[in-house]
Amino acid sequence: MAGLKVDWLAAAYQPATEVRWPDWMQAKKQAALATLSTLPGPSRKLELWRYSDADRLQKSELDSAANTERELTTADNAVVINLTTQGVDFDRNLPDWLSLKPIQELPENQWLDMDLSPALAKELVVQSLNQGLFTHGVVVDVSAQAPQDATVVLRYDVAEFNRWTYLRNVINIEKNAAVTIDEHYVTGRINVVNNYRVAQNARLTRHQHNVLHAGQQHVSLQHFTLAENAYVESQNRHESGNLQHHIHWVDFTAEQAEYRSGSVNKAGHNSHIADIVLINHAFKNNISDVTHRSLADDSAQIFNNAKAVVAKGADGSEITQDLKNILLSGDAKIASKPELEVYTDEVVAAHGSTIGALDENVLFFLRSRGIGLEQAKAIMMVSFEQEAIIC
Amino acid sequence: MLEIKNIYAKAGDTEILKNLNLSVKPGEVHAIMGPNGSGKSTMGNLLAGMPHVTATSGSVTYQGKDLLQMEPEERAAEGVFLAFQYPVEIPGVNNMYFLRTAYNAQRKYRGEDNLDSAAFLRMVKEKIKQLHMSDDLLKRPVNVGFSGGEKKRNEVFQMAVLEPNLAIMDETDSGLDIDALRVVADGVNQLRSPDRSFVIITHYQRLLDYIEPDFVHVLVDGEIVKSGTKKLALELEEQGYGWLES
Ligand SMILES: Nc1ncnc2c1ncn2[C@@H]1O[C@H](COP(=O)(O)OP(=O)(O)OP(=O)(O)O)[C@@H](O)[C@H]1O
Ligand SMILES: [Mg+2]
Repeated sequence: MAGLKVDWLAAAYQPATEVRWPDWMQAKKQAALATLSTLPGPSRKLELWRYSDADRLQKSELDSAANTERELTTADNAVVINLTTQGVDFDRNLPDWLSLKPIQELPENQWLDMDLSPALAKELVVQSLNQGLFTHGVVVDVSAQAPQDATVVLRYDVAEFNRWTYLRNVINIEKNAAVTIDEHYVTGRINVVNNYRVAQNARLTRHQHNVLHAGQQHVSLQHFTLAENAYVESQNRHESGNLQHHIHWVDFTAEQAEYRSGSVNKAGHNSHIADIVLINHAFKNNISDVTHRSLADDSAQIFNNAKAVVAKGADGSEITQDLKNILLSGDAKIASKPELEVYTDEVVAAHGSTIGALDENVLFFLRSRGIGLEQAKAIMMVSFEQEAIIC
Repeated sequence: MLEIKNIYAKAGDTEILKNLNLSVKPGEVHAIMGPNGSGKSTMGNLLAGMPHVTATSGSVTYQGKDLLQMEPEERAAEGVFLAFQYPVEIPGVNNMYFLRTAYNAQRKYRGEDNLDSAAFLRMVKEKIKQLHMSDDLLKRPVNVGFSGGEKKRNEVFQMAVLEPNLAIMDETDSGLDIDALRVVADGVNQLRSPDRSFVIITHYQRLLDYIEPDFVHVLVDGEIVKSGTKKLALELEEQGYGWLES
């Protein structure tokens, strides 16, 4: 098999005008490529790719259609950042509470390395490629002056739909700041890494809206670092597409912080969706709460994984993992795995996972009131999803 | 209205109804009593079309049509309504939305236009007032967090909105306090008309003090073993079912 580097460089989009990277960033990119080129390509042998067909990553001739756009936001204080084929585009007339700059102007001390240690790099190989291949991105700084409805929309609208576009963003939410970030997928074959740095007492509400066409693909790594008393609520909707592979990585870097996430995964036809959450409780007294509701129809496959690692001494950690899944057809597959790795004594943890079908009694009840089978099922799906809608 | 003839039916794999016969004419109220597990709910479920209840022989004719051939939603649109013994909860779906969807689905089946939301809201508020129930029930998710009595009342409210021709009420009176019992009885009495019929499954003759039945039947082991008037309900209350079973 050809080395990883060769395959992926060829498949990646390169902009016409070369970006001038600072030396240290160029070195990071090269180091990543050097490490990754020694690794085999992703396959079902990997834990995180067992239920996704990694060969699809190399597929050509994808879908050029753009998604119908829903209203991006209703907030008065909203700024839309367009991540396009050419680069990053936004209204230059920014409010005081927000500053934006291209990723190549990121201060070196704000850089977060991908973990390229052998075991992890293998599992995260597709997301790690981002470090070597990213071509553009934005650094977002939100200050404590942000008004109540401060909203930043990251709109992925890349016209290049066959080759992969690698985007990398850093979102700094400063001490005491509060903001809503909406990530909105429109079109493109996108591999994105976002580093959310949530400072002391800061508050992030995040929405990810990934409703893809049958021929579209999207890969992401969302990395969150939470300082003392930081609060993150994260709402994800992953629907359809040829392939979606999302990793949500959470690091607590102090105490008293809270991370809550809700995911709705909905796959039909031949769609493969992976929704993976990894939470490191490295410090005391942090809370994490993960809820997934997933529905698979036709011959679709969904992989749900929520893993929390509680380090030695991280007492007072509170962990909830609640994964529920519904199979709507005999050919659909769902793998659902809540995992706890606890190296300390005082932990409050609740986790559960179920895979079932739609409740026959509820279905009958709705039909007995005159609602047709398909509509009754649709109502039940909405009801089911509702439990994972947290913000 | 309804003609049940020599019905044998299974719930899952178990034969429950054994040679059931019942004839209900327009405007009549029939009460069905009988011991636990005798097949009362199974009968209601068979009429409403619950998938795991299947007739193995016999026939059910409703308004001249073969009821057993129809899908549950078709039966509803044709005017069959079952008030459930154990109403289900539907988180995240509010009562108002659910009811409007049901109401308009039935209208569509009958070739009628949708009622617009304002007109529907007016109608629903009127009904809820008549039943002495509070408006906020409309905004709440279907049966979620409802008390046992509220769930039962919600069934009666749905019946009032959907205005069926044949209402089967499966122990709608169980677990109700006296005031709620009156509300349920009022709901039925307000709907009573010469072209509407009721089959009321109950364990207690007290409901029949409020809803005057035309007939009382006793169902034992899947079969109607005795039929009579309201007097039969009183006898059952005093003597239990033992004297009928042998
Ligand atoms: N799906 C099923 N599979 C097998 N047996 C069933 C099924 N559903 C019901 N039964 C059985 O059928 C019998 C009749 O049940 P049914 O609910 O009709 O009784 P009932 O007369 O309504 O009783 P109650 O007064 O307690 O409500 C019971 O023994 C019950 O356990
Ligand atoms: Mg019963």
